[in-house]
Amino acid sequence: MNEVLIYDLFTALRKEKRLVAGGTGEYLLLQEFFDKDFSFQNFEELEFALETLLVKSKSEQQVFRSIMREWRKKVEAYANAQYVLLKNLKEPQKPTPPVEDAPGRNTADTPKTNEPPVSHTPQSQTSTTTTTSQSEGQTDVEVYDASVKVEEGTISLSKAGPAAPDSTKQTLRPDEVVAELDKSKTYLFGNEYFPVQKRYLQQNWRSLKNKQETGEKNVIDLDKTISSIAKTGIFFDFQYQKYEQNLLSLFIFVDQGEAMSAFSAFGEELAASARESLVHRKTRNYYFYNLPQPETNDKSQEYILFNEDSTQSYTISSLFSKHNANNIVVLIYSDAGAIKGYDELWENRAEETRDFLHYLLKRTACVAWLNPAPRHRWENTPALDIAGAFSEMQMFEANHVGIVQAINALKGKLLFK
Amino acid sequence: MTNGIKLYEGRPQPKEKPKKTAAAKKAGAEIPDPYIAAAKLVKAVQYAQTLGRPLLLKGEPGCGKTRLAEAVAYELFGKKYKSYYFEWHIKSNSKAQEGLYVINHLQRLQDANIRDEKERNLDVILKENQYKGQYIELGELGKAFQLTNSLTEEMPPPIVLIDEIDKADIDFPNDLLLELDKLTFTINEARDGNGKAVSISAKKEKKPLILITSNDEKPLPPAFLRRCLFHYIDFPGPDDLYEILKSRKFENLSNDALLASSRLFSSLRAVIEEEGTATKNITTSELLDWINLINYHHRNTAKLFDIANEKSVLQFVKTYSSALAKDKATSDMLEDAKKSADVIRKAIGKYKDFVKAAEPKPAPAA
Repeated sequence: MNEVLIYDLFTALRKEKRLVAGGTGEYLLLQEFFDKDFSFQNFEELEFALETLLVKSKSEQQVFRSIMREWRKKVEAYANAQYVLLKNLKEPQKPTPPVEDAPGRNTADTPKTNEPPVSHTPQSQTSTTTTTSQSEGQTDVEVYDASVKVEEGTISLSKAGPAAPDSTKQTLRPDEVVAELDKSKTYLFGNEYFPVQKRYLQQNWRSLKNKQETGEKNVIDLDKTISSIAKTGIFFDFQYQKYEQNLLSLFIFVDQGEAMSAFSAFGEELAASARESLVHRKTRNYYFYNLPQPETNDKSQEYILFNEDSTQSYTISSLFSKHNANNIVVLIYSDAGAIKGYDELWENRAEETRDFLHYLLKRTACVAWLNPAPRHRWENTPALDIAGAFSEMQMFEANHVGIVQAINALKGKLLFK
Repeated sequence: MTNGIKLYEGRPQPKEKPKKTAAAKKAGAEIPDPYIAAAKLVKAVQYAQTLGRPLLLKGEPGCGKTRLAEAVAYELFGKKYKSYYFEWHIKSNSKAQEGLYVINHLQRLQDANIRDEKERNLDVILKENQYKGQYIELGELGKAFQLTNSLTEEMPPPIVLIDEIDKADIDFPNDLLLELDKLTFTINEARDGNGKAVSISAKKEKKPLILITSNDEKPLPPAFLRRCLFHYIDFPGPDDLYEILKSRKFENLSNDALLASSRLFSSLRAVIEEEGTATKNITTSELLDWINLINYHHRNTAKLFDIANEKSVLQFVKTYSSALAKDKATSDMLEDAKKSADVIRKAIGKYKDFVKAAEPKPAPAA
């Protein structure tokens, strides 16, 4: 395989951020692969082989196939150029009348079997021509008429006969892109579209805790007991410890604004998975609409939250009253205006949100913000402003990395900016 | 064979299992259940063998990810494949080290507490080319590494299956990277018979073929993914399902009955997918349970149902629905009178499409 073609493919992979492959390792792997003694009947087989090497998930397949469609054109152009070159070298002046394809001979190939040999299939016979010259006692030369344009999407690279029927092969217009339905995700009532699985959330919630010993020493401490036996050589009695209880109180505030309606199910999943982790059994969601509403009374400013169907309201101070402020952590799940985009009321909303966060940070140990909108959508919206407003509160994308980072932030481990 | 490597070709196993004579048992001869691998899957395994990289397999539950490794081992090693095949089933609390070695600390502590006149040697000892030593046993990957040192030149490398790797902690795959790259690990706690620290290394030319399965419940780290080849096992079509059924022994069912059942099964599967209410679609394991049930109840029946008669098909499906419906949505679909009739009607439509697709196409006019 031509080095330039390998480099072209590698460059296309690197440009595509949605693929895992794209490092030096992949380039060396491609070189190693083409150095091996593989042979391919047609381009589809080569594509499948490269897919096995470079694609790491079903979702990457579509992206990779679109890259391969472009790369195929380069491979075919290269193969055509090779034939033209060979034709000019062997028979520079001779015309090339159209003759039926003679199977079995493909001398334009390089000796290596791993270079895709260009040939014809029954479908493309109408668009390509060959000549086989034997009368002058020369070596049989099969030449390719580069003046005839090859039909896109139907050429195959094999002399071995008709290409094997391939259900994925289809004729495309230059402007068409195939987007195959991911058949693994056709269940509308499941949670497959969530950014992470429930089990992942539960595992991470379990790591968020502040275990302290409380009460009497009436729980067997196995480690101390074994340690005592190891020291003395004899088992006298069990060693006991106080019961360890998680003192951390997790609150989840969920935005019920219109832009968040598509994400409400995942918002419920956050609290449900926290309860099911068995570490935060009493965690529940509290809701607001775009922004918790302030309520000023004679004594102080308050913010109001609601239950899911807005039939009950709570002040934040009433929610926090039974908990030690050093053990209160709050996760806010809201787009912060990122989904709706630019709004004339942006500046007002950003300022009100900052006031609310200022209020919250004074009454809690840690606050983290989880945003269902991807980071590149935060530009020109209040989300970006809010994300950078406080050093002690960070905003994270709601994906599997962001969720871990958000939970770490609730543990007090903030990311360095 | 390529460059001296015996490649997997996807040959199905024989139907008849060897008789369990004392001699056969003693020889350790076994034949796994038949496994039909799709052509692309065979190719993917061959690439993994040739390039010496692990192959990561994903697919729907029941599509045959786990069984592939055993089939490959059987083809490469024959009836005694169990000695060259290692299975490591990952659990949610699995640690990477368990695949390399496990020290029996409890036994050691117990022995330490026993006071008798004999001076006990409490060292962790593992001798050369052994899987098990004093207070230590190699894990599946460790055994495979160890085995490579005693293989002859013509023997293929051993096969290791790491099953459901996504069950473990997210750091688990990365914890294996160094060992998979360097093919060696050191057991710090152990000594060989001469008092030296023990290192287990695999021969580079006999690098084990590692097949890894994942249910895609958790994302795997990119650093790990980049070291693996990847193949998604698509669910087989009706014709492939028919080949799978034919490769097994169903005494009471003719080939025609198996073909009809596989087509009906594929039709039902397509309808359940379209309905979109089930949490899990029916897969190969449900098919095999279903056919086994039908095989048990039918004695030399040529025709199981009349595809032209909706009631006949509905009756047939409902009789054995317990093997098919593994979740509430599918069960409700098949129990409810109106829904089930609707499902069967759609399934019959798809069945006819499958029959039409399988008909030989007329030769083009000269």
